[in-house]
Amino acid sequence: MNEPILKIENLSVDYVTGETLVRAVDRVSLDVKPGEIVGLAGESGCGKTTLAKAILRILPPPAIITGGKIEYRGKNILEINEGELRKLRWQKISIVFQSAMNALNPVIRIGEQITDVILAHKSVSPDEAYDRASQLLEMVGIHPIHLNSYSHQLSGGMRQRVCIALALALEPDIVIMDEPTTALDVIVEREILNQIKDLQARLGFSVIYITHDLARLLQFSHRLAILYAAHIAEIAPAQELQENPLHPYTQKLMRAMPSLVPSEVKPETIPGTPPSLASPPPGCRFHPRCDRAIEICQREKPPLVEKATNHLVACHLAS
Amino acid sequence: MKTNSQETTASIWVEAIRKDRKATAGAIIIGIFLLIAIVGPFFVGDPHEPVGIPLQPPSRSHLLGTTGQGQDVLAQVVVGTRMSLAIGFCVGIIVVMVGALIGITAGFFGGWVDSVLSLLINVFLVIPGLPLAIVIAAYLPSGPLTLGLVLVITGWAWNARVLRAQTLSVRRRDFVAAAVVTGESSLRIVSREILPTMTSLIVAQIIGSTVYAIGAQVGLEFLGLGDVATVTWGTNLYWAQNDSALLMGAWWTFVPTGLCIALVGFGLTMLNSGFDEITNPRLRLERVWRAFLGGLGRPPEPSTPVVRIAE
Amino acid sequence: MRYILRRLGFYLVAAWAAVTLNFFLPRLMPGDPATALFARFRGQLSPEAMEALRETFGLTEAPLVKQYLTYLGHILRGDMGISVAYFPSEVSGVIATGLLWTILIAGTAVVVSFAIGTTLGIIAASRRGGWLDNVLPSVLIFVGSFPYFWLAMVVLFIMGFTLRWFPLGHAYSDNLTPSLSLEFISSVLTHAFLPVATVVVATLGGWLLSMRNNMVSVLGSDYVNLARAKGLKPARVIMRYAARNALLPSVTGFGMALGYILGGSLLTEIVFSYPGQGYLLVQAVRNQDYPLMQGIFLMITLAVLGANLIIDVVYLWLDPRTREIGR
Repeated sequence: MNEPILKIENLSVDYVTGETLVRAVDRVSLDVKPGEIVGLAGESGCGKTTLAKAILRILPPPAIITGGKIEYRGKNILEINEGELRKLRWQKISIVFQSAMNALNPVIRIGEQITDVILAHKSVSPDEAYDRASQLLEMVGIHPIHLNSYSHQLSGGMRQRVCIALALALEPDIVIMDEPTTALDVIVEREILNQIKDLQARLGFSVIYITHDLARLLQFSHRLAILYAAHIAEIAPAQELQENPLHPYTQKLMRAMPSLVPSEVKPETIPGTPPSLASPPPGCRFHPRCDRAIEICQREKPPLVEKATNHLVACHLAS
Repeated sequence: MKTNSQETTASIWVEAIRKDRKATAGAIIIGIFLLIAIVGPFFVGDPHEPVGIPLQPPSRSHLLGTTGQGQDVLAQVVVGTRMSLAIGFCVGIIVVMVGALIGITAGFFGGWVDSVLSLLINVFLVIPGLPLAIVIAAYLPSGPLTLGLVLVITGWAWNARVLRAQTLSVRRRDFVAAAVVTGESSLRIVSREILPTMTSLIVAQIIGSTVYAIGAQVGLEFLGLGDVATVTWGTNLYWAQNDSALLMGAWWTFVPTGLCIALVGFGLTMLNSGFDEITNPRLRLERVWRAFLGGLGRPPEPSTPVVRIAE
Repeated sequence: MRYILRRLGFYLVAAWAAVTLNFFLPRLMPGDPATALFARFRGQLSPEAMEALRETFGLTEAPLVKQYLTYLGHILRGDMGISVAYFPSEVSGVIATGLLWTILIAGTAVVVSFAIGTTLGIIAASRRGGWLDNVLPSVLIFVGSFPYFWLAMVVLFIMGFTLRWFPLGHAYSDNLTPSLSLEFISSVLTHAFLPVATVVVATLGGWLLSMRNNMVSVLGSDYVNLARAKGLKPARVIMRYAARNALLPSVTGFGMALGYILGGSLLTEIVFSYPGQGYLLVQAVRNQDYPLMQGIFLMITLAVLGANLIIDVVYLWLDPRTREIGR
């Protein structure tokens, strides 16, 4: 049986704002199996990036993790000490940020930013680390001469490739990718996605892929989780989700995507805006925008239940 | 239930000062000194008049002792407060007005206007202020007007630089661009659209410039470039140095004045500390985060802390 | 290189502005500029010497442009006229004697204070809490609120007059002649200690606070987060990934604060009767020695411009992005 290597259970993350707390991730559960690409989709501000960074516990102030657990191979990341955390980071789980421009330090050469992570985790000589860094750059199609470059000397696409090479430096089990292609044009985006897929097939790592672009995810990932206002709305295998979306939000998202609807039908938009996380609506968070909302939706938060094999949905209508 | 906008702004300020412990302390210190400056001189004697034996240490009849001329030190400190604060605040405000005029003009009009004014700003920033002030002040008759003039000449550039940068960034925003496109007059755009976005910055600059003005004023007067016949904090220190207070061991002739200068400077800086968070929002995030963890008895950690309160 | 050339051009403009200011100041004042400039020379100088001095400052009957060019020519040759207070010495000679002392005091103080303050700022931001972050900045800001020269008076009063730990003034013992002997050097060091320490203590808080604030913003940046995610040692994350970047705005601030701190340092010299520019300046003010005052102003301006150029080179080395400008 394919046991998950990462199990997130009831994870909650809050931001401290003055006297109150704002919950950006609310009791979210999700697991990742070896070699699996898990997609995480949602509108901006729904908590996807927060979730991604919480896994590595690198959320800067004012964030705090307020509950749940994150188990990596049975070990709870929320309960280990700094030293263990440091060993787990990058070696087991690495991350690619949304903006490579901001993720690379502008005053440190690319080479040093790759070798230092190798030297920190592996007992190799600086020369060996440098050779490994060259290989990594070549692997993503960048000439090793750029080990001597600074990030501002590279193009946007090259920077993001550097970040991907960096993420794979220690051959981790899981790579978190937080909208790694948003800042890029369509052609470069396609190249990079193909590259990630190719590398994933070759090296066999798992991917948690985060984006607001549902169409991309449906092609790209094995399984998808739809996040709405800090809650999980639906989780299903990609094909299942495409053929049989159960949550009204997912359905609307599908109909809003130009690439998924036949060209003669105009893509719809979802009326209204996502709720503010500081004062979310009671009950189902989607009900103010849902045209099929019934009375119970305003009162009770729908539980996440398994409707079909591996297909979970949080909606009163589905149960 | 309609409050006018002026009142609302004022209440926001009061609220901001009340919330920040440091700002509250600063406001109290400044309040006390303003009180001393306004009513203090009525309660002490003539600071010029010799009232006792020169260089007497503090005693019951002269709480802070006497100067080398036999004047009452307490009277000099209290009367000096009025003049020094008056010049300090006036210069602080004028310095920011000049800085705003030049900085906003440069940032708003851009092009060659900006090039010329930026050069002017940068030249005045890099030329050392005190020596320039001395050279100018030495040619003019000594007095508060001269002092104010040289302090403005040497102090405006920093404010102009900051306000220019701020104007540049505001100008790029949509609502200003829209106003420009619809053909509103420049004066109107600046006063209606740009200035209101900068009020907190300008208030912070006035406070900062007042600190500068008091410090520089005291320095120039200490050199003898003020009117040494008037009583200010700076001239008090000038006379202390001139009367060889150190050699005579007369610490009381300069310690009280220095403490007052530092307290006012410190109070203004603390009052301003709340504004740091406006220009650098991360400071506020960091502060509330620390305060929250501190309330739970937890030290802040480098990794995202786990505080189990959701279960 | 383009960057440095551009900065150099700017400093030349600034220097020219200072010289021009010097030229026009006496002419902007009411009355005859020569009267203002040379009031104190009356009776001291022969009519011929007076003429020569007028010539130096371009105060002739010639048109203003010609006067100005004459003045520029003299300044370029280093001729700044004759000092009243140190009559009949040349201003340039008088200034030269004190310049080294001023650079020793102000230079040492500024560098030491920046180094210590910045280090404390890094520690304060990375410790997140503790007395270093909560109490020390406020204490140092309070100390920094005193006028430098007032701190100097207190320090001199306690450490010099009362405890007699340090000499009361001057740059070295009166019974020594300048030489490279150990005795002379140690005398210079003990005489410089209090003036330097005063300026260091007065300016420490500013550096600490600005570095701490820079660090707090940099610590929230993506690249520091990524460095943490990489599982690097905390010390490496702080020093290499955060402090290195947080230093950049501090270095810019360093250049801008230089003139201001130098001003304070000049006043400190006066309290310690330290024979630098500040001491000369007070002599000049007391004797209404305008040529000397203007000379000191020019000299200090040039020193600050030079220091700023050095800072630009350091910045260029610290921030690779600057190297691209103008390419």
